Amino acid sequence: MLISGNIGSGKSTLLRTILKGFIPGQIETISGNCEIMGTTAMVLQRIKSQILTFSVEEEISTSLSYKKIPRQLRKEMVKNLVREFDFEDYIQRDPRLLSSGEQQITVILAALIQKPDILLLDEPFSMLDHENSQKLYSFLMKLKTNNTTIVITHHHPERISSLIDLHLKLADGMVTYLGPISKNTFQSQSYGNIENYENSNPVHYTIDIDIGYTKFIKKINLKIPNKGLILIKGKNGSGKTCLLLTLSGIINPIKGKISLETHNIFLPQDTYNFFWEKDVQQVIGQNNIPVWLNSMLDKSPFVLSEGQRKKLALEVIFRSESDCLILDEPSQALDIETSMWIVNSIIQHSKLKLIIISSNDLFFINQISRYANMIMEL
Amino acid sequence: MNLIDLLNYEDNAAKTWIGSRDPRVKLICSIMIISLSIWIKQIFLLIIVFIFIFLINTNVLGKRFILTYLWNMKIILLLLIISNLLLFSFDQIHLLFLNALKFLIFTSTFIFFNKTTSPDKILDLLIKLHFPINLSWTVYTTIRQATLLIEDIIYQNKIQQLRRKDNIRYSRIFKIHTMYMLLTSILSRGITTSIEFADALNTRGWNGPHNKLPLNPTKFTLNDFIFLIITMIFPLVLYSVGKLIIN
Repeated sequence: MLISGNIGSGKSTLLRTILKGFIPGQIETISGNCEIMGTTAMVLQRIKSQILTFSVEEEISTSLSYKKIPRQLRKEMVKNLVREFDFEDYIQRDPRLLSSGEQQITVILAALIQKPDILLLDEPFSMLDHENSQKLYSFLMKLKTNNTTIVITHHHPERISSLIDLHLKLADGMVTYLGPISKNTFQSQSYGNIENYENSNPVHYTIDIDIGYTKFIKKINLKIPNKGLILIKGKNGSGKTCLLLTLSGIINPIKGKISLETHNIFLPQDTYNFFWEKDVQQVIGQNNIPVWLNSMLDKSPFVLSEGQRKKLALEVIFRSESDCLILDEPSQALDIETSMWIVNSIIQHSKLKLIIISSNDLFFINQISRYANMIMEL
Repeated sequence: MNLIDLLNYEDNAAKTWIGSRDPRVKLICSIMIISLSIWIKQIFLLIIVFIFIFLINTNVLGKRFILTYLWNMKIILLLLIISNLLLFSFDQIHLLFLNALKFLIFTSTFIFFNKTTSPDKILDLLIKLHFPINLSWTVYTTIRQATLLIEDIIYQNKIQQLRRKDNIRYSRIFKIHTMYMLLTSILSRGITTSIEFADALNTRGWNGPHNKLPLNPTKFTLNDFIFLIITMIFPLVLYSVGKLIIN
């Protein structure tokens, strides 16, 4: 079952309500009843806080150890599951030191090993690269044929159409039943009209970097222009975030020096780190308030949904006077409408400023790569 | 070098010969070094203890890390020297070096144990030492959440510094505002993190603290025994050297 809807429509809240979880923030009305028939497992959107142990192997087997399943059997079950995802190389690693995508796989595997009757996944593909998305997709297809109920929230139904039997859409606090999904239902959706501006000759760079357990980068030698668009792409764990953090000066390289002479502003993947203000009004100021923010000016940025908070952070970044905008996965957890707005804003700003973006969202990369002055593959 | 670099458990360090020893042996070694540094009054013997822990840390964390750590300690050492000068007179200058050395030995030992023993292993260690289960789990969860929180504070501060360079209003009352900004986001983030941590425990079937059986239990091997003997011989060597000097 797919639950779709624009950012802030209440998809994550609905999932947590199903499991009767505590929901931070303001909820004006809760009514109705939800009866769950069978065992459940859930993966929330923010991954880091769901990691419970200090080894991937232990993390995946937590539910089994709580059930007091013998050690050898646990090891065997973990081994079989990680083999299906080609994740064997990671099982002895500390999950906190993995990339966001690898952490997402770990937490999803920890849910899958429970073999639940009902599996609730909040944006499970948001941090995964194409290859890992495909692996998860085919695994979910297998679970579906084994009569597991899978409830997914996703902004892009067209990408998982074969998986969906039932589609619910959330809008204005109402749930609309859209019935079974046909493969072509969403095919027509795209990023719409984007200004006709194309960089005819983008430069492609393949750079060689070395990322260890501690964050460091070496063997990089490149000249970055003072304006334009630089796109960094790569698989999960290839070091995209690490490179952006180094470029912005948040972490230091162990060898060599990477510094941007211009003042930069950084958009992290988890936008909790970005805000401190009491309410949205204080964040955005008094002038040129976007229409979508009108109804939430008195709310704290911390009670907004993941998507709304990311869009608000992007509003702040696009309004800033910084000469360099560094955006880590800007399209993550955003709907098509917002992604379109981001693409347009990026194109506009890249004429005056330097914009550095990292992403593993293939659709977003396809849309934006033709405007890029430089594409780096990690 | 950040505070988190000193406190955080590190995979690489835990895989070295000394780092991969049984937590019980590492605990005995740490307690022994700290006890020696408390009792010893001769600078020469303290230097030997310091060299011993320095060599252990060089094996575990690498020479580069330890030298960077020592270099970063310069301001704290300077403060220690000034406070000693204020408390004691100049003619007791040896006390100054004694306290500086003791401080370096304490922190180095703490770093050695912390960076090579994951909270998982600490939980296992406490359970093996027959600590009350609830207390063991409390220690484990606290360590896990504390490292996350420290990591977040450092990360958040830097991201927010980049953002507020835009805003002249905030730079005028920089210090107070920095504290306010950090506290606001850390508290709200902390609440959400704790709720999600609890949710994750619930959905994975957590039903209270239990005698955890780790997937890869630490076994007392011959290498552990060798390291334990080296640890035990060291105080005897130190005692003999001390006797020789006195005679």
